[in-house]
Amino acid sequence: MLSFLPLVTTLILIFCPSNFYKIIQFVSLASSLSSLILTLVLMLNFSVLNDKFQFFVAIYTFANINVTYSLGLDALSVWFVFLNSLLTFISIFYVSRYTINVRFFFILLFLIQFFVIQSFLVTDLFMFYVFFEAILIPMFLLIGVWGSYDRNLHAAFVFFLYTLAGSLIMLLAIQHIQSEVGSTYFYTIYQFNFSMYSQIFLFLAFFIAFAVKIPMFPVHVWLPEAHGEAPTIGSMILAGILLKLGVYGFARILLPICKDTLFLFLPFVFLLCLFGILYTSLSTLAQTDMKRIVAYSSVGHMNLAVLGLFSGTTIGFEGALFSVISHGFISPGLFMGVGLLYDRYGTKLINYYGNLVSVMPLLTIFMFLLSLGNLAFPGTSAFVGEFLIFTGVVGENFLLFLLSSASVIFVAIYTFWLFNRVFFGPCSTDLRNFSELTANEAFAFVILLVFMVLFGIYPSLVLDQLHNASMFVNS
Amino acid sequence: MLLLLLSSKIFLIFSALIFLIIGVLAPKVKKNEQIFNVFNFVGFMSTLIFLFAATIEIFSYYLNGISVLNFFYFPQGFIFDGYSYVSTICIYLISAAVCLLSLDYFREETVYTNYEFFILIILSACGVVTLLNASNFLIAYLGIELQSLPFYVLAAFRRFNRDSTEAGLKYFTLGGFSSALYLFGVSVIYGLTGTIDIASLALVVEDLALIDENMYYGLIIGLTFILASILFKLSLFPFHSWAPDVYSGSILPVVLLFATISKLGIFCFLTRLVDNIFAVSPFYFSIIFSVVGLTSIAVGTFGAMYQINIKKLLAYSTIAHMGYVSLAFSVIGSGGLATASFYIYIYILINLTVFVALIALQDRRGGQIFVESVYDLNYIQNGNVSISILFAGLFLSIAGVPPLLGFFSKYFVLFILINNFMYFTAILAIILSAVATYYYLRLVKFILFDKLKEKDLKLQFVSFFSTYFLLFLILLNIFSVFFVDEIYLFFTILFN
Repeated sequence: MLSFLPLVTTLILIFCPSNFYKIIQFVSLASSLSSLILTLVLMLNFSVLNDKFQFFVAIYTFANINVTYSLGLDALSVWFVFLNSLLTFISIFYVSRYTINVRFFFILLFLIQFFVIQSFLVTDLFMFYVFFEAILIPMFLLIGVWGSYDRNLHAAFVFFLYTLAGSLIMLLAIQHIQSEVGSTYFYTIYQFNFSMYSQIFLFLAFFIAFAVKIPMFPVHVWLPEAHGEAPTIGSMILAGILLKLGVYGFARILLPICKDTLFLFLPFVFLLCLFGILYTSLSTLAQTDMKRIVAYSSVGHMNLAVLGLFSGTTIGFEGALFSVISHGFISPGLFMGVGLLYDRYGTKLINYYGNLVSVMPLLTIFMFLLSLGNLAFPGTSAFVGEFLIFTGVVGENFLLFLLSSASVIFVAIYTFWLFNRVFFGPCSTDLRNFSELTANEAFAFVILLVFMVLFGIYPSLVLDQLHNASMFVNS
Repeated sequence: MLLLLLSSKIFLIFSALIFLIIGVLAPKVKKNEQIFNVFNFVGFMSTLIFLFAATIEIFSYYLNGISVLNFFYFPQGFIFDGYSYVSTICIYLISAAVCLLSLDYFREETVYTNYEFFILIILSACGVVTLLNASNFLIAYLGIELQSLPFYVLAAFRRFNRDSTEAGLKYFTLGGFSSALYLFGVSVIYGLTGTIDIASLALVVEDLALIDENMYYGLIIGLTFILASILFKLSLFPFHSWAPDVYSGSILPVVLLFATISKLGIFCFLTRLVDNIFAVSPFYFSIIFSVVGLTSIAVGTFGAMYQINIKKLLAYSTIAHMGYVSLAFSVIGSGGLATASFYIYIYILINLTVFVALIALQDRRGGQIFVESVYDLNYIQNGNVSISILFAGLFLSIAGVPPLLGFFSKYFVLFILINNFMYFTAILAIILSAVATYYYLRLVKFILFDKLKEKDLKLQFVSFFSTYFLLFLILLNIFSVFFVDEIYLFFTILFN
């Protein structure tokens, strides 16, 4: 029911007259709100102790390839689903004002929501692949049609082709699994003992696919491009939800399948992560585009999470998932702030801004809190995540811990550097007219901040469930 | 019984002859004052004729009490089975649609309204369905020629247009050459085994002990010649070069015929050969098919990469798709055949939708403006956003992006490759498919992302029929996704 609500909304919107803006807005808002409420209802009924799929629904069976399209929620996916519903709700709030061709935009937004929910909920590898890929289409159109600069075509192509090339290799791996195991149901795959060679092949294939999505060092190029050119909503969804699919894929597929050969690749993965963390943290300092800075910072955070995932400890794994979820509140918030400035002044370059604190105090407060979240200040949710990751890593490899914890300093440097340039300093002459946040926008910020602080001071709300999931994966 | 089973084809031939007589006897009046328009009359009637022939075909099986799952073999050189039954009905329906669409197409372009157009379509459709039921090399040759000769004329139908006559001449010369190759191969086989019947040849092949070395190599040489001719008709790699030129020179409804029904007929004949005779050396033919498949995909992909003419682009895309069909053939066994036919049917469905959409979109202000180059796709934005989304979806579907229909056909081809441990082929194919996605995305870019260049040029649907037919096809595309499994199962059953 929950998962098909966005699809139903899409259908309604397709038959909505395109010029009745109020109706479209109302339908989308109602739909996203009700899917948020449904998610909350599901989460209240969700049992922490059960480590199998709950609310299991089988929808359709492909008899020839032995694939069942079925949905189920478990400890690993529950928070991602919540994140998705929440961010879609916030985006609808935010989108309401300025967009051209609103109906098409909302249709794409709900399609993305639908595909994302499906790919978190499906219990079958093949269907996961189908929805994982399907997200590309609406996202591609979103960047291409509503992108901000002339380079948006380039960004859309880079985004699509990088992800596609990665996941096509995953397709081969899935087919290999299908021909070897005979089924792609997750728990059947987990119980199957793959030979050494096929584990190596599977590791490489899945690793490339998800590393592109996260994105990790050599293939991270598409992310700043896509973020820089995407509309604000696109960036929020990209950073808030789509990147999480990579981490989810690692936790759901790669780690349980390739347990025995993991040690072969660990140095390689750690090196890539380390490189990603340090390189992106430093390259933010050379950027002039605010959105690209936030995008690079996302790369750094996600790579840190991957470090935790592969640390092999329960605590690191939990920390990785936790920090990914907390990143899902903070990074969209930052993107939203940048997007608000872009809407008002039409530029994302830092040079044109200065002393915004005197004209937009409310935005300054929100952005300050989010910046604190971004650098993992104690009391915010990111702190809990990073702390757990480092605790997991330090026991495994001290040098790795030392080098990766340097990122904490870098993040603090560039976050405050950005914040300082934009909100303080000499008043820029370009900012003649100004307007403070509207109630809608402030409301969206408050929601994100509430969750950031809530998870920061009461992390066991999430950790109880993640603990269950990580026990399973690491056992 | 044979006569009854062939009744739909006989009916078609007779109606073609009757139309000829009507056309000759019809009063010759100046075009503008014509009350009784022969062109429209014949076009409309031939649509009905095709629908009627499809009905006859449906009932002819029931009247004989034949089950679709069995096959019936006649020593006169015919074979009837479920696959040919389904394909025949499909071909009749597609031809009926093409007749109506051409009426739309010629509404503006009145210079070429010769009623022979429809008679040629009827004859070629008749050739294709003969080919479907051929179990004898000569009957198959009859079918191929009956299909090809009208096609040569159809390709050159705009006879005052230089491109069109060039297309016709090229198609004719190269097609005649490929027919010669075919006949040469058949004569080699006949000289060695004394038979041209596929079923008897299958018996010979089954008993490999009877074949001495000379005969073995002779058979392979003969079959290779026949295969070369078939590769030509399917526009596969070493023999693909005619396709882009012929496609770009012909008018859209004719290209639609080339891309769909002609491929279907030859394909069916190829499945019979693969099923029965190619077992003489499965390894050899498997290698040929996989090499041809991969090279065709490569040629199709890179040829279409920066193509501007949309018909040429679709021709290259056809070459690439036929490459996937050929890859499916490279897997020995009935799984390969079922997958190949699944692939070709989905290819036909998507391509039919694309072509119908291209034919249906015209400039409403009267001037005859069809989509010729890829830049023209930009003007679709002027009409309606949903039409441009539809086009984008179709091209992404051809590219094989899930969850659209095109993905599933590609998936099954790759799946049987992996299942048969042809990893290397699968990896190459998948890399090429990633490259191919680029040029479909480029089309999406022209449709949706680029700024409008000419504001007042507006492409819209002009005809009642084509609009609703397109709507029907789109729904078919969407619903096929939900029944992919059943469709695949259906083909698996047909080939067992």
